[in-house]
Amino acid sequence: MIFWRRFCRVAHRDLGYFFFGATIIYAVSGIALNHRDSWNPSYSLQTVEEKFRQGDLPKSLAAEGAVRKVLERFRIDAPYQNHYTPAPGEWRIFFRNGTLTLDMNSGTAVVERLQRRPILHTWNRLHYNPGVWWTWFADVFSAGLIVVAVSGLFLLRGRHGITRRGGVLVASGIVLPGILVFLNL
Amino acid sequence: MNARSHFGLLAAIVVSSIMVQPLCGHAGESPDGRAGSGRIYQVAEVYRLEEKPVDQVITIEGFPASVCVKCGKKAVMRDRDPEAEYTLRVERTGEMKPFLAEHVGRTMQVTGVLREKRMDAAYFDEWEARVKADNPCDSADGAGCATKCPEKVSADKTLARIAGLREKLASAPSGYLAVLWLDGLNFEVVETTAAR
Repeated sequence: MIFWRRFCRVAHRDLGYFFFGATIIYAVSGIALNHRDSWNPSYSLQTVEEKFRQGDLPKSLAAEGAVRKVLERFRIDAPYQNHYTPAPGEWRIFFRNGTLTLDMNSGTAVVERLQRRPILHTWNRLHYNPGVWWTWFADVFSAGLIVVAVSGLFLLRGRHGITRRGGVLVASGIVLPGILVFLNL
Repeated sequence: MNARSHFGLLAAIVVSSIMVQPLCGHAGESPDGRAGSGRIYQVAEVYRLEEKPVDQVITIEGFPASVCVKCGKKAVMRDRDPEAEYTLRVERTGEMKPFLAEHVGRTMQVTGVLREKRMDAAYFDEWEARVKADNPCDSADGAGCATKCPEKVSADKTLARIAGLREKLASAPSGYLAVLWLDGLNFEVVETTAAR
């Protein structure tokens, strides 16, 4: 019994230390990705709308040279990439990390610039398992979390232990998500 | 361990690495061992081919007009010709890297297996029946479910889409509508310098 408690304490402590970084990465990116319907967790998007006169632009944007002139007109110095017509009377021009959408009918130009969120972009990418090696690491991390969770149950004895207060809290933590699942909330 | 045995160990590792290499695939071959033809198709070109290389590994060139921002599993590729209307969906499979938002608009070459789904009248009949049966908030009075479950694509919209596709089918000489997509195996961003 003494060996078991000592093992739990050592495993809980050392795995907790070792996986501190991964826990923070998964926890923070988990919160960010949970709310991805209401914001873009990996990129910030800067949007600027501007009116233009049709006479300011070339008559046809089919040629790449004409498109480059349009980018100059809207003070976009990022490299041109590609362009196409998403709808009649509308042009979408892609430049590095951004788009310029021209509505020829209303004379409205919308410039969108994409920027990576400094830390979150990387952490969110890791959350989605970017490669084989990270998948292995994530599996080991998950196994480690199971050991941390189980060993945590047996760290303390007495009124704060698993047989009394600890047991009530563990049961509550299982029952509460169970209720949410049962009610389909 | 002396210097000589160190050298022997190093030599053994190098030799075994070389021997293992062919088992892991080599350049020009897809991760699952299927070799491509080496030809690079533009997106619109794939549609114009009389004999489409369905279920074969091909490489296409174009640019993603949009990518799935949630997990980068899909991209809608457009032809580099701005006046070409064709798009080709790429679905990420296997060990392919995810598409990122930065990839939108960048010219890339995607290698994958070309797939085709043929939709005929029977297909649309089955689809329509399934939509009507599966959608509990679809109502017979024509009110539709858009207001009852706004998060989902309403049955009304799907049925309208099916009706539109049936109209296209009526004018299709082949008797079916074909949807093409690419099960992507890998991709490479290629910087473009030459003007079209």
